[in-house]
Amino acid sequence: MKKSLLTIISVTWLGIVLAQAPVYQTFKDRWVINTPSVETLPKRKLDFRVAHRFGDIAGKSGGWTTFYGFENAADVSFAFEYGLNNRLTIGFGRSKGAGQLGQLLTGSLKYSILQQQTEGTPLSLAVVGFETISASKKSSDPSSLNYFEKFSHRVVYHAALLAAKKFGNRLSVQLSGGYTHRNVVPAGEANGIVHAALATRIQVTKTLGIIGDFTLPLNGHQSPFESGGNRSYYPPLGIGFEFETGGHVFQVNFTNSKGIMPTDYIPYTVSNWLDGQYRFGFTISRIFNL
Amino acid sequence: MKKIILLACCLIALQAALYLSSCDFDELPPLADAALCDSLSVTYNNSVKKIIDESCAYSGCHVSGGTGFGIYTDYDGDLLDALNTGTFQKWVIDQKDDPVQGMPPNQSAYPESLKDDLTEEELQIIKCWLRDAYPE
Repeated sequence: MKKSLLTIISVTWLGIVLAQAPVYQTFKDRWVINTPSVETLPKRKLDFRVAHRFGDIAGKSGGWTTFYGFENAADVSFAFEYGLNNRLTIGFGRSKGAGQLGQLLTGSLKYSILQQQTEGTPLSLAVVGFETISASKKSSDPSSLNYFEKFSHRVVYHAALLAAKKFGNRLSVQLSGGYTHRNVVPAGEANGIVHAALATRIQVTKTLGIIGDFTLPLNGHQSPFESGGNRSYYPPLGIGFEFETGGHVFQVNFTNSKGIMPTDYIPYTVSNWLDGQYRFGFTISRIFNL
Repeated sequence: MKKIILLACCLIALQAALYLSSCDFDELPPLADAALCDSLSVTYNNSVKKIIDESCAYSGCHVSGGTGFGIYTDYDGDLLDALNTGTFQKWVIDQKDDPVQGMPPNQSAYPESLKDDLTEEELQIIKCWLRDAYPE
């Protein structure tokens, strides 16, 4: 009797273990348009990324005059990311900056806490942190964000917890929540902004996916739930296509956000889809083995 | 390979050090003095248009056919858009001391450009106008 029970338990346990397998590539890239995804780089892989956001396609600043925004650069970013191991990815990049601060140097850390399994573990979890330093020239005006009374005023922090699930082979959904901190803000604004975000990917063909991301600030003037200030902010919303071509991931997108980095677009998105202030953008990712 | 690992460690250490740097909750002073702004009662038509016409919307720059981004000859249109998106304040106030990014630009290529920088009085007028949500 004892032997039979032991055999049953062993077979069941073995069955569970054998049935468990990691779910790979919840997202094809470490970013879904402007939102970091749960994906980390494999060990010793280097990702070189170039991202570009053009000017408004429509509205007062778009149309034929600017060739639908192609003649303006809202933001440009060059970045490297590197997999120290399969769970930990570090990154460093430089972007023009689309908000009130410019010449942005951004360092990042991402750690994969949990990976979705076919059985047992229902989702993937990761934490990500960014630190952006503005290298802009100091202003002589004390009421300006560029006055930089102290070094910390150049710094913006961002941290987020990412939770994602891949449903079958075609649909991936990620929910995240995070906090963005500016050490100095214009009079009346909040230093800390809490946000929730949604990112999704739908696999259409073997190489093509549809991607989307939405970031919702929950407090401060940036939040649609609060009013105040003499400037209107709008939640960043993007939709795009993602092509995977072996070693390259190529994203083309349309978004109202001008900035590329979370430390830029969460506090400073003032463009509205409904006013034609959305733009074409692309991101190219090339992975190297080191 | 070891060099890359060393570089990565340095980057992590640098980032950790920066994370440990102060987390402040500072706020900038108001853009302009309330009493001064109340006494000036600035509007686009009574004060600002003249400044913009002389320093921005001159031939070759923020006018039709000019190379400046946007036409600033009227309140509506590109000027209002630049005000709403914050780019006007960014280039005219926040980055005014940057010789390349700041507006008006230093060493302008256009002879019609009257000056490289706005005067203190003009800056006060612009600040009051921005503070009061740029009335027409």
